[in-house]
Amino acid sequence: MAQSKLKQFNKWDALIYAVIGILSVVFLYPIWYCLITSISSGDALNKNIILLWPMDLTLESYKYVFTSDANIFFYYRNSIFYAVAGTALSLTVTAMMAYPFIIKDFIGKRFLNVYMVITMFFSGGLLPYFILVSELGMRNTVWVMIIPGALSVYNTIIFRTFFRSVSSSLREAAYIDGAGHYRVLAQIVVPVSKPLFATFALFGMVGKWNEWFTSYLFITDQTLKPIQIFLRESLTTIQGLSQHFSVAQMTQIRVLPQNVRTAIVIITILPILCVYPFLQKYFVSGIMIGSLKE
Amino acid sequence: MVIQQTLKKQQKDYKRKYLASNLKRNWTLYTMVFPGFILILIFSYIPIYGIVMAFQNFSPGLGFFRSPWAHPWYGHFLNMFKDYYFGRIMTNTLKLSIYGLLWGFPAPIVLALLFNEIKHSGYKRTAQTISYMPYFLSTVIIVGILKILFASEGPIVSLAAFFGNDMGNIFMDPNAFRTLYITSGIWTSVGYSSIIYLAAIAGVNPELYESAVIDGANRLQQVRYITLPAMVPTITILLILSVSGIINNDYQKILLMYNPAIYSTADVIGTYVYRMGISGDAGTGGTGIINQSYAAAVGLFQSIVSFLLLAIANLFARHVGETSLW
Repeated sequence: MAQSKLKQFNKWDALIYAVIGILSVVFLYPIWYCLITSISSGDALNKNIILLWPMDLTLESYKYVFTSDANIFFYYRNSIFYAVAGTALSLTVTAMMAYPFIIKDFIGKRFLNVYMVITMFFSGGLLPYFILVSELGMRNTVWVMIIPGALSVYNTIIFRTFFRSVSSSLREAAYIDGAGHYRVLAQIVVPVSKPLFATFALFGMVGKWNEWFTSYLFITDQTLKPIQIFLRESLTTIQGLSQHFSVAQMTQIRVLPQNVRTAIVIITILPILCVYPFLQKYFVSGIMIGSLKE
Repeated sequence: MVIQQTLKKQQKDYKRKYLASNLKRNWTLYTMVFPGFILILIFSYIPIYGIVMAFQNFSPGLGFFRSPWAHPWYGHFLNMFKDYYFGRIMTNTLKLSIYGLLWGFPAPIVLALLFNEIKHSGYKRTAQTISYMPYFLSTVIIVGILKILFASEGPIVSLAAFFGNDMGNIFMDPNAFRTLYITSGIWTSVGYSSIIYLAAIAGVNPELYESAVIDGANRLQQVRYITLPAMVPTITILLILSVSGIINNDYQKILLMYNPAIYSTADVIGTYVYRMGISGDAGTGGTGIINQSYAAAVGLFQSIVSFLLLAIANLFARHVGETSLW
């Protein structure tokens, strides 16, 4: 009898299901609003309150964003470049830093470990970092977007743990056949750790795509700005859209600023939404990897 | 005597030989760690050394190594306590964090408990997937969407206008800032943060629930006596970490949200350091002067307090319960 009571769908269940349902709507609504506003016409938005459904469907705002002088694809391309190059470098350096730790007779393991872990607890803070990077002459260069964050100690530790699980007999056999460490890393350890690399590549790229503060600090050159800075200027500053778009042109083709704003939000989060199913699959396990202590 | 000496010599020889053969075998490993080693040296250790600038009168031309020392060496810290704005940024920082903690800390716990009560796995999975998503949007997008929702053509202001309320520009209202900051913060991370609690719940032995039901425990009692206790270690650790974060805010997000009209509630230590040391925007004291050493000193003060808070919270947790960070 008690068992059947457990399985019954009573009024508490109904309440909890309803609360979760409402919460889901709340989580989704801001993005949904951006979507429906970006595909509604300016006139419709002017006359009505767009709340739940698009009105007077049109792609006019997207057409305007793509064809205007704002040149959103330029920033898009910059961001893609930073994401791909930055992640590739980061994975390479991290794998190379982690691999020696699994070699039994590598002298210096203990020192390197302490050397790395110290930086997890202490950091110089914003100003010394800012001054250092400026002094290195990295302001307004591509490098500042790629190099300073290339090695994450945290990721190195996760890589190290993962590499340890690679069977050592596989490596031993390769050493006996005369393979060097680089070869073993590239042809045995990396292929065996494919899921690890896939996960970190995905997360690395999403992180780089979303990154804005580094570029905000160090990049003033228009040609190097990533998409997030374009968005910051268009959405969050007082001058707003007029920094990149012509309000007169918008009025002429009857597109409201709100249409344009929502359209560029959708354009920018599209890549994230596309990879989200894959992200989702991995990050629950990712969190668990991170919480494992050595 | 002689035997001992020869033994020692042999040992030394042996060691040297071992080192030589080891290096011959493993020297490539050192070339592997070299890039990482250098990156850490430059981008972590030099800035740590750079903290000395808080005790210098730093000048960019002279750098960390040759800038003259401040007189007295703790002069910038004295100035900080005398700073007219120090009280304001401290109050704002603490209020924002404490209110943020009060609302933001229980939120993922409650969400995890709610998720846990849903038996229909498809419904549960969909809801969870939706709740994680905002976490993967950039801060710029979050603030951008916030500004879109509260734009004059946006849904909230238009609805208010429809009912005859003129909301005006909420981003110019100092009283609204904290609510906006905290609510949007919860929206962004509550789903993601609930994962770790769900993991703790998943570790509970299902037999516990079964025997509780047999003993006549209702749903609320099961949560109270089984689920919650299982979450306590996780809650403790996350609480320790949050307490030490009380003096840190997400100042990068605030930089995107605020403007001089709402400095009275929105200006926190992080944003003040940024303006004082990097952007030099007027509105700090209206002067627009950059003082990098001073800003570094304020930043250092913040890190030290944060570290002390962590130590105290940890001590407290160890004293009261069994869980602690170290």
